[in-house]
Amino acid sequence: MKKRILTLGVVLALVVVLVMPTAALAGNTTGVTATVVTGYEFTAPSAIALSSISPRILPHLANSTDGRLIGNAGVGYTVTGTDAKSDNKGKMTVGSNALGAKLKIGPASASNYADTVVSFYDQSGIVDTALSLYVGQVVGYSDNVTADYTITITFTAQPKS
Amino acid sequence: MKVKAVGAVLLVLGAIVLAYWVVASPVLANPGFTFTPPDTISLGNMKPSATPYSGTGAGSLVGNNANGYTVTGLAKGSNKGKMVAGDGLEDGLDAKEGSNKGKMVAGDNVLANKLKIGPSASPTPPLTFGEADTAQTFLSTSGPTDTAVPFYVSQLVASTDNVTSGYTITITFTVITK
Repeated sequence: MKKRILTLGVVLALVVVLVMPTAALAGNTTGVTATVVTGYEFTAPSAIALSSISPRILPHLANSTDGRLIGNAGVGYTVTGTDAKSDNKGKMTVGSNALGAKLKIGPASASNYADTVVSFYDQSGIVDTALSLYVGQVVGYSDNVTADYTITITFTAQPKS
Repeated sequence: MKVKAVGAVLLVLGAIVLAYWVVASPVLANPGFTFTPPDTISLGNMKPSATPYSGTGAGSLVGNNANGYTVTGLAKGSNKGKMVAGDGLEDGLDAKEGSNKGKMVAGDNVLANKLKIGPSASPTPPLTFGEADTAQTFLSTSGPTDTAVPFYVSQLVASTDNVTSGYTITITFTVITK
């Protein structure tokens, strides 16, 4: 009799275990996987507006400081900038009008003419740094009075070899 | 005598639960809801970037509770929210017991930034998007529910993060019946 009661009790206990809701035991996790590879991302400094500029000996100055270079190559990186166009290279233009003086550019001051390849970063090791573009433009008395003079600085970022 | 007593207790307990199961079978036959977590998300190859890598997925929740449900998710353990990568799944799991909450891990390699999770990058409250070491709310309903549970993840990669494969993190979802 004891045996039968015990057996019946065990069976019922098993039934209880088996019929209980299993939601709590169900899988409720999700994995996220990834691989980190060697690489870099360069963001050029944003556009600069010199606005209204008039003839004067001293250059009109402005800068943009929101460029960024982030990379994990131990050999390091170089970033250069230049005016890549061929006509009126280094000069701000609008239509057929070109300013007489070349724009000066640089990472900390407007120190180099934009028709040359200017270094903005050159270091070994991994990097996560802000990069700036400083510009300086002299306006001559002979420069045509008109709006929308523009120039585009082309940056090249690459791992060092 | 002892055997008889244990048997009797088990018998009574079993009978009570069995009776309850028979009377309230709809409740017990159906736990109230069925939750399916999103599939694994692979963020693929990631390089250092100012812009986070992101991935999406979707689970589902079907339930008949008149007051609805809340679904939350977070990375459990001490590495909550960070991806880890290493020489195997076990290491990844073990690393969760360490001190890098919320970060993806691969062995001893731990991403500098915590994984961010949520139903989307900018959900409408009470839904939330944030670092995976704290519970984020993926779903909040107010009645019987049959809906997808969107899953969005976002991971920033720093220049100091070690180059290796197998970074991983596990998000645990919890369904709360309101």
